[in-house]
Amino acid sequence: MSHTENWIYVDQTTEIFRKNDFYDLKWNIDNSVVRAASFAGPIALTRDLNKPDIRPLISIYSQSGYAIKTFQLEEKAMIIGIGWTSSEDLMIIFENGEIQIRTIYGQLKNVFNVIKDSRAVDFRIFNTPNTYTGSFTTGCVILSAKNKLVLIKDVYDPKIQQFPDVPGTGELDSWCVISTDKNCSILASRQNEIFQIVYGGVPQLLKINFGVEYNSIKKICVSFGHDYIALNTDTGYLIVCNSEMNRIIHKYKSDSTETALDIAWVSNKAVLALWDNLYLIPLGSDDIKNHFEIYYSSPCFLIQELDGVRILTSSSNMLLQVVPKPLRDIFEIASFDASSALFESSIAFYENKNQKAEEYIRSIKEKGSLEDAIANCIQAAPHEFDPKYQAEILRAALFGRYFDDYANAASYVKMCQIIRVLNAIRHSQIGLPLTYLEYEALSPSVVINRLITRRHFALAIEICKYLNMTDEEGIIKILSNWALYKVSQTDVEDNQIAAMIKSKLGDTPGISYAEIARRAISAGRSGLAIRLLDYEVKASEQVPLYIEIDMPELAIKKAMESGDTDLIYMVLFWYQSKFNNVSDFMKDISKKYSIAFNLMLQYFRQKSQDEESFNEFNDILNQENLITEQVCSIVKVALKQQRDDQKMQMFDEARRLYASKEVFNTNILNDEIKLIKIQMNLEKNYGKKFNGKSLFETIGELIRLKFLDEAEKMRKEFKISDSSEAWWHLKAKNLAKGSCWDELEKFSKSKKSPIGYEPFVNYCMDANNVQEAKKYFPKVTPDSRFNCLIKMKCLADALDLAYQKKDIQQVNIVIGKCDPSTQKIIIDKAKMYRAELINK
Amino acid sequence: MIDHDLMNYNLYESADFEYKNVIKNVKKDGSVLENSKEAIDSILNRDEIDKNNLFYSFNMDKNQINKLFEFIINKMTFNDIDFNFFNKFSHDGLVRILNQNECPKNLVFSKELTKIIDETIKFSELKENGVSKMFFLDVSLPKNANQKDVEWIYIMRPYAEDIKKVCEHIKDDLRKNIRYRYPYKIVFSPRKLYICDLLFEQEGIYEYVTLTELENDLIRIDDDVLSMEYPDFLPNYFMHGDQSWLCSIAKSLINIQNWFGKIPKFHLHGSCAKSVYELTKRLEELNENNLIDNHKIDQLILIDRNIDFITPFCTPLTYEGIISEHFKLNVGYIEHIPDEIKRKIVKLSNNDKIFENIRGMHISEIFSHLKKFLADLKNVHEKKKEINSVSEMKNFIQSDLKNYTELSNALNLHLNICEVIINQKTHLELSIYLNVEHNILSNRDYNKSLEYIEELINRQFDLHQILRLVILLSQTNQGIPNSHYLLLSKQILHNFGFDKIVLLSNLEKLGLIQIDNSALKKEDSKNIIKISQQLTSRLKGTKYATIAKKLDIIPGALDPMQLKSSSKSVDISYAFNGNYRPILCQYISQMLDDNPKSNFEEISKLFPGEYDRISTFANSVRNTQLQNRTVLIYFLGGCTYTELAILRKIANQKNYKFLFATTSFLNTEQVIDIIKN
Repeated sequence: MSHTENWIYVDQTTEIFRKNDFYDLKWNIDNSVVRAASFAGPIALTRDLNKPDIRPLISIYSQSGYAIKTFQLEEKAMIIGIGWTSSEDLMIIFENGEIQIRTIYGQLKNVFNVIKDSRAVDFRIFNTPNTYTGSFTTGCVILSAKNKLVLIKDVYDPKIQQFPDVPGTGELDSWCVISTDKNCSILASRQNEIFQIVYGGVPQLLKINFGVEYNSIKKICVSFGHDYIALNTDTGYLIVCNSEMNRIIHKYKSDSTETALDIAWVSNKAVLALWDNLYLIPLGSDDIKNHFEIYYSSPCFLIQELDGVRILTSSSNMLLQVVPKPLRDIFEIASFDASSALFESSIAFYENKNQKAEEYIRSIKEKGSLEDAIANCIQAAPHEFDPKYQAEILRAALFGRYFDDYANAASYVKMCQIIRVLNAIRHSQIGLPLTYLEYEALSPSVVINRLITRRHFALAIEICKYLNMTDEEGIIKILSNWALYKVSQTDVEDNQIAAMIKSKLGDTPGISYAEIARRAISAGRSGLAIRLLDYEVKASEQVPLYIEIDMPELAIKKAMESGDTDLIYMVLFWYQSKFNNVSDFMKDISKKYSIAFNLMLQYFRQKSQDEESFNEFNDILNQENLITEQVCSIVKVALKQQRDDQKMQMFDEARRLYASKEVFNTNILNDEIKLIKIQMNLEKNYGKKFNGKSLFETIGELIRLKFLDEAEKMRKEFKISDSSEAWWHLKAKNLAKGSCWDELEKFSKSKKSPIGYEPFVNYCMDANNVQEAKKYFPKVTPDSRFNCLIKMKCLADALDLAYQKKDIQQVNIVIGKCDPSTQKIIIDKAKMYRAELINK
Repeated sequence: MIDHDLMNYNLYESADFEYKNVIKNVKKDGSVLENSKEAIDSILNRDEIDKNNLFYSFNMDKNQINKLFEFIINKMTFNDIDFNFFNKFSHDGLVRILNQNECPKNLVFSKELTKIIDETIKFSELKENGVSKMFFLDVSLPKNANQKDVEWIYIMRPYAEDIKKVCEHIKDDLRKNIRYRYPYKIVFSPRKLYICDLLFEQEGIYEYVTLTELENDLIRIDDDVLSMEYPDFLPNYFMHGDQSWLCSIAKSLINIQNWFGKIPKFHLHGSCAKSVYELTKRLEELNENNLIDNHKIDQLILIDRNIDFITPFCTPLTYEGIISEHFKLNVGYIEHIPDEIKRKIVKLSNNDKIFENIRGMHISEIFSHLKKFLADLKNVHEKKKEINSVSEMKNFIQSDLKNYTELSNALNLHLNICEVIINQKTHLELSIYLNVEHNILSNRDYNKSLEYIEELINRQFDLHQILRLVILLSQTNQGIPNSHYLLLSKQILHNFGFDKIVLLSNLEKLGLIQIDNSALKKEDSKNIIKISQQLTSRLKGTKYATIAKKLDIIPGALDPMQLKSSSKSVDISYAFNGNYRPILCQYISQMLDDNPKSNFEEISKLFPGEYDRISTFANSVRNTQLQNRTVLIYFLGGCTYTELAILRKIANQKNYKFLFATTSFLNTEQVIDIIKN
């Protein structure tokens, strides 16, 4: 039976085990400490433990023995141990209490110190399983020379916590950490005493009778799930209890009284102990000496895995595990399981061409267990490591499906996919010999992460595509990481890297070039960062980085292209801080960026209400030669001034500004200054308020107040012709307003009116004086008479006029102006006229 | 009925039942029987079938098909394009802001936003969400040191001026040592600008405030009109080159497309339109969720206001246009209606059936129309007499009486408004004024117009009305000759005060008034007669003259019947007494015609900025009569109510459905007041 050739039968009552050789290794591990991360993680090797005054050398290997990196620590220091976190980072524990976290390439990620006044003598690294997510949190307990136990629950978030002291004095013989998501405790033994020390509790001396003789406990080993404990006594016993230490599960007596060099758990079903040989001790047997001896070539290291123990020797990488049940169902001798029969049947059919195949199938079908048999075959296949055997089992499942009317391909196809992925990552060049259970526990997404860590980008992408993973957990992550890796390759030119990254990543949605550029910046490669940022589509991501590497031109350009004014302002205010004063800044941007300049100008314009900002704004306007706006802005403020002298001062300033330019407003500005001076005088002389009035309003006010001489003086002062329409309107209007009827009449006769006499009528009527209005009516031109009559409310006359002129429109106007209740006669007459005119 | 021969047409067998019904009900002359409504409805509800094609295969002649489509399009209500989304969106946003903290709230908002908030949320709902008191930003606030639990919420535009006011309020509290449990919440509508943070920081009170946004870029004004109600956009963009608000416009376009599907065809004209389009495209690229392809709006016209600065300054003569000048419509609300005791503030919209009918009409026709409604009222009144049973009575009260009160209220309102308007509009001056205005628009009698303007200045007539004519004169003549302008501006400053210099310079800066310096050199020769001769000859070659000719802006003599706004085939110049067809409307109409003969490209080059047409997936959709009919017109810089009225007429004549979005509504007075300072 080829399938079972590596199976290990200890005895009938216990599980069956199997030992699988993954890789033949060719490395030298003599005199070395070898530590590997579980879940087929990387292997760290060093020969420099506990050696003072050297710079320790550490090598990292893949599971298949491929050297990933060898590096020497930067400083001389004594390390007391190495280990791994659950995310495959290397931990180095120093004698001085320092802990370093490094990547598998030896790059330092974090350093922290846990002991201050003592030195570290021992440590335990443990993974706390999270019951909900199935993930692990790596923690660490350091034992100091003063017998203090320091706990770091999560090495990625190092918070130093102290365990209560172990009672008594003297060195501990052995200890271990039991950590669940609920609490964290330590089992420590000194001579024949065992203490349970719960974090935050009181240390307890455990009173447990193992029923064997011993003086001290030399080694304690916790199972993978932190639920069982194996203790090795100085008398050669191996005792297994539950982690609460209140139930003894198994006892084993070894021939050797030496301390076991190493102990490891095989899936809670057996303990593997290393004495002179490897002893596989299955639980559940009554025989106290029951074991199976595995021969190995020294040296040898044991690594507990989720469902087995990895055995690393100088020549091989093996996995010892309990034979998974589906496999056992098929291949155990004299198995009665239907899947076993199905497998036989397929062998008979395909290989032996034997008609018995049909008999087997029929018997399975008769029992009605064909479906179960197929399912079991599908379940068994991924547990096989050899592709040839995997194929045989899958073939059996497929064969069964031919006879199954209700066969569903989904689970079969899915399993084929998983097997393909597993085989791919187990390849010695990749070196990730995960078991099926481990693969399921990690999830494909984490497996991709591990491939990324090992820089197997191409395979990672293929797997993502093959498994149809979403872009976020697949392609984008891989490409981004690939790009980040490229950025760190300092020996390649910026241009080349940027081009490579662009060609690979293209416009894949979700890729953040800014993120990659940020990495380039932190690696001190601003040149590369600039190139990379050019590919970023989000200006809001680009611009802050341009600022970080001090590229104002690009930052402003990109911000302006985005049209996002907030972003533009952000850059501009940053850019402004580079200048000594606002003027230099504005001068600079006005030349280069008109949109930005407009925005800044708008900012200062809005802000220019208080005096300080107002001056600032004016300086800018002056500097940029925006004279018109500057004058306007000064005038605006000037007009708001209460005190005339202040007003004058500001106007003078405006005039000075204007003088330099040839603009028509200079004269008007002069007029205004003259006007204000006169107004000031008038206010003094007449005690009337003229402030804020226009030139004509001022003159008008004078006329109304009958200060005609004063008005005349101003007219001459401001060179208003006394025969101009403006003057006639002004004077007539204000004389009427001021009810200076005699003056008005005199004025009307002083000259031939350039504006005619209709305005006279109108202005009189504005003052509601029909009497006066009528005086001017005869002089009104015939064309305007109708309007004047309407204005004067002489509707009957207006009607007659309209009738004379045969103007229906005007007749209508008269009707519209009549009050229907009181002027019914006129309305009737008008209607009559209208009818008459229409008939004509 | 349709020929029975058609029944044998083989396609008929495979056609849908609904189509059969419709076709049965289309008469020879193309009119459609009433009872086919349902069938047509069901056709309208399925859009995947190429209706046009199908109808063609039924051998219907062109006339029939056109009539049928007309009928169908008229039936296409806006039920599927519901602008209420916009208000609901901002309503929910506001409620969220109010409910962030469990405590009584005092609301302070800028006056400008009053109506927008009214339109967003009911007063009672504000109370329900914990608002205890409300204040305007300008007034001093009653702060009480004992009310520590009150949260102060400011809702405002991101203006520096207003922010300063808020800062003063807060600083005042700090001086008086009044502290509240919650930080002051400053809500910016529609967007927080970077300078907001900056200003609070500079004032040193950043730690006392939380800044947030109420994203209500577009407000629903009516069932086919959206507006940002942001009149400052016009001077900010076209005068100061401030692009701050383009982002809000682009976002509003994204929102529109999120709700009504990706618009397949864009028409752009002008620099602002182009920037907005590019910004929209950029935002779309960053937008993760893809827009739905199933679009309800077929075309979008993004158009810069500065291609037509004439129409906003023409005196409107449509009902709504006049209302907007007299009552200052704000989010569709009017205030201060005399005799309207019951309601101080009224919202005018299509909900009011009378208003829907008369809003676009020429003012002279309103009265006769109101009379018609009076007759309706009378009918109801008479119906009352015919009531014989209890059930009839019940029915009467439930339906007729309700309609009756609604109708009579509305009628009352409009009569009141009309009264106000007529009192002002029958002023004798008006006919002279309009005459001059129309002369200017027709490029006639330049000198007389100038004289009239001078007379108005001398008489110290309303400055807005004077400037309106000056602007029109400048726009239609490619600037006012320098010598004339010098005179005018001097007179204006002398009459209305020197402070108007700011206004005049801003009018120039915005390009509303241009000064023609070419005549200046000629002036040196002191040959004034020659100048006016040159002037008249030059007029023929002005840009305005060319535009007027190409776009047929100035109608010749028209039959009075063509100016009747109630008739369908009314000439669009009716809104200006048959003297002027608004440039923007004519231009849009040409844009949509897509007629190769009309030489549209040449026309588009007459205007500032460039025209661009972008089709995203024009190839996949065949151009049929039914498609491409729903058009959204987005005015960048504002539009007038008269333009909307005219565009609605055009839509009606050409079988389009127009939807409108604008940054604000414009009228002469308001534009001048905004740029006054």
